[in-house]
Amino acid sequence: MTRLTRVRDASPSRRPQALRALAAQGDAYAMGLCQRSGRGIELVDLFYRPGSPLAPHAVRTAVPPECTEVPSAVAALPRVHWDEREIRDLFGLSFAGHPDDRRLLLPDPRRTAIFSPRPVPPWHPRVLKQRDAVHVPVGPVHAGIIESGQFHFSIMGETVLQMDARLFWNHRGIEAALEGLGVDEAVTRVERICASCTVSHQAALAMAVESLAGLRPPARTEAVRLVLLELERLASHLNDLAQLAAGAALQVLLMQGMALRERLLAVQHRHFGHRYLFGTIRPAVPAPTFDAAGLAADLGPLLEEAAAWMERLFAHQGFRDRLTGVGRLSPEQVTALGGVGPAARATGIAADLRRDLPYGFYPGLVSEPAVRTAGDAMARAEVRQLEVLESWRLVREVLAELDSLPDRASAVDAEPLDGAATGYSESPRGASFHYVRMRAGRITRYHVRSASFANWPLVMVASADNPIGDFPLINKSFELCYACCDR
Amino acid sequence: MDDHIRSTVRRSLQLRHVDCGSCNGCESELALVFSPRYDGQRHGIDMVASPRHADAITVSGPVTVQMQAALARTYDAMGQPRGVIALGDCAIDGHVHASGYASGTGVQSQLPVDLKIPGCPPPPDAILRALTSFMGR
Repeated sequence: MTRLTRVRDASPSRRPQALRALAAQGDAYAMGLCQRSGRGIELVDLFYRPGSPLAPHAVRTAVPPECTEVPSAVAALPRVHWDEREIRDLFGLSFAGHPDDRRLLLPDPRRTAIFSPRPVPPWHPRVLKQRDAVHVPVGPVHAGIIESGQFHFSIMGETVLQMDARLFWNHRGIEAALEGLGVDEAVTRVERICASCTVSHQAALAMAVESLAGLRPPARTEAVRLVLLELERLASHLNDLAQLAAGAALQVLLMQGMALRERLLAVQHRHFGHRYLFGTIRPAVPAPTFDAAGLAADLGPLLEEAAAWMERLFAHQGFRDRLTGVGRLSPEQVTALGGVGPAARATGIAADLRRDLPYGFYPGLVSEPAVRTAGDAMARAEVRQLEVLESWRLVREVLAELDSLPDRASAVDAEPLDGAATGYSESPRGASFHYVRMRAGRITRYHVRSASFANWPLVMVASADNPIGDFPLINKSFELCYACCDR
Repeated sequence: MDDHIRSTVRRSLQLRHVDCGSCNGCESELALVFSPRYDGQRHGIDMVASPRHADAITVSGPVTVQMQAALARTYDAMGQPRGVIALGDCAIDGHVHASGYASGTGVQSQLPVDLKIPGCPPPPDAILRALTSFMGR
C-alpha cells in the first residue's frame, strides 16, 4: 500500500537539512512537488528506502501565503534542481540559493505561473562566450520524425564544450487539467502522457488509486499487469536499439529492427486491442482476458528473431566502434543528478524499482538488474539487450502460469476516495513516480515524475567533451521521451 | 490553394513533421510508415529535412502554447502551394488534451488544414491510405 502515512513536517529553513539527512541514511529521492494547502501551499518531497517494502515516505514543508521565497535544497541534495525549478514556474515560489534562476517548464515570460501570479525570470540559453566558441542552436522542430526539443551547443571546432537544452515544448499542462476529475476521466489522460511509456503510467495510476481505496488487485490482474509492463519494455528497448543502429548509419539493421517492432505492435493489437496498449490497466478493474498460450506462441518466434537480430547488431564491429567511449557518464554524475533506469545501470548502479521497491507480481520473479560499468553509449545499449532477454523470460514464465491464477472482481470501496498516495513502476526508461491527492472522489493534485524528467539533465552532461556530430547518437543512447518529461 | 496542393503531389509527396505536443504515438506510427511492412517511399512519400523542401507538414499534438510560434514559422518557411495534415485526434481537435492553460484544440485553430487523419494514434496503414488518397491514388 502506498497511501502516504509516514509524513514528517519540516519548516522551510529546515527542509534542506531534512532532505540531506534522509539521503545520508540511504533513502532514495523519488520526487518533489508543490500543492495548495489551506490558504497557502506546501512542498512535498517523497523518498523511498531501496530493498524495503515500505511505501514512499514524505517530508512536508508548509509555506504560508505571505512567503514568496524558501531556501533551496540543491546544495543539500543536487537532484532536486529541476523539481524546484518546476515548482517555481508553476507556483511562483522562489528558491534562494538555487544555482539556476531560469524558467524551466514555461520559458515564455508572458505565461504567468498557473497557480500563482508571482513573476519568474524568462528562459535564455546558457552559451559560452569565450573566444572561438560558436553557438549552435538546434530545434525545436527537427529533420526527422521526432519530438520537439531545442538544444544549444557551445562548440569549439567539433568539440561540444557545453550543451544546454530547452525542453517542455510539449508541455500540455496535464497535471492541472486532471484537477477536478474523477478516476475514470483521469485514466484516458494519464495513459496519453506518453505512448512509449503508457503502461507504466497506467500501472502507477492504478497503484495509487487502489492504495487509496484500500484494495489489492487479484493475482491474475497483477500478473497481466506484469506482462503488459514487460511487453512495453520489449517494444521500447527494441525500438531504442534500432534507433542506435540508425545513429551508427546501419540502415539494414535499422529496418530489420523496425520490422520486429512493427510485428510486436501488431501482436499487442491482436491480443489487447491496441498497438500501444492504451486502455489495458484500469484502477480496481480486473485485467483483460486474452489467450495467454496464443500470446506466448505469437511472441516465441518473434523474440527468437529479435535475439538473433541483437546478436548481429552487437557483433557488428562498426556498431561497437561507433558507440564505445561515446557520451560517457560516471556513477558519481548519475547519482548527483538523480539518474535512473538503463542510463544509471550502464554506470554500474544496480537500481531497479522492480527489485528495490517490489510491487505487483514482481516479488520472487525478478533477478539481479543487468548492469554494465563503462557508462558510455555502448554500455547503455548492452543493458537494453540484456533487459530484452530478461523481459521475455518474465513474460514467458508468467504467461505459463496465468490461467491457474485466481481472478475475481475486487469489491470497490463505496466510499469516495480521500487522501494522498503514490504509484510507481520501473518504466522502460527507469523509475517513474506518480502522486495523487483526492478529495471526495475528485483529484485535487496530480504529479508525475517520469524517468525522462530525471534523466534529461544527464544528456546535457554526457554531451560535453564529445564531437557535436556524436550528439544524435548520444541522444539516442538515452532515447528519452519528451512527452513524458514535458507532460 | 487547397485544391492546388493536391494536384501538385500526385506523383510524390514530401513531408516535414512538426510535433506540437504529441504523446509520441503519432510519431511512432508515422516512422513505421517508412519501415519494411509499409514502405511509404514506394508511393513517392518521404520525409524531408527542411520545410522549404516540403509539399506539406504533418502536425501531431493539440498544438501547445509553447509550439505555436515554431509551427507558424515552419509554415511560413514552406514554399507554395503547401499543405497541412493534422495527424491524429489531438491535432484534429485536441482530443483528451484539449483543456488547460498550456494546451490547444488542434491545428485548425492556427492553420488551414487540408487533410485530417483520425486515430489515437492512427496506425501506419491508415496513415498510408490517407496520404495516398490525398495524392489522388
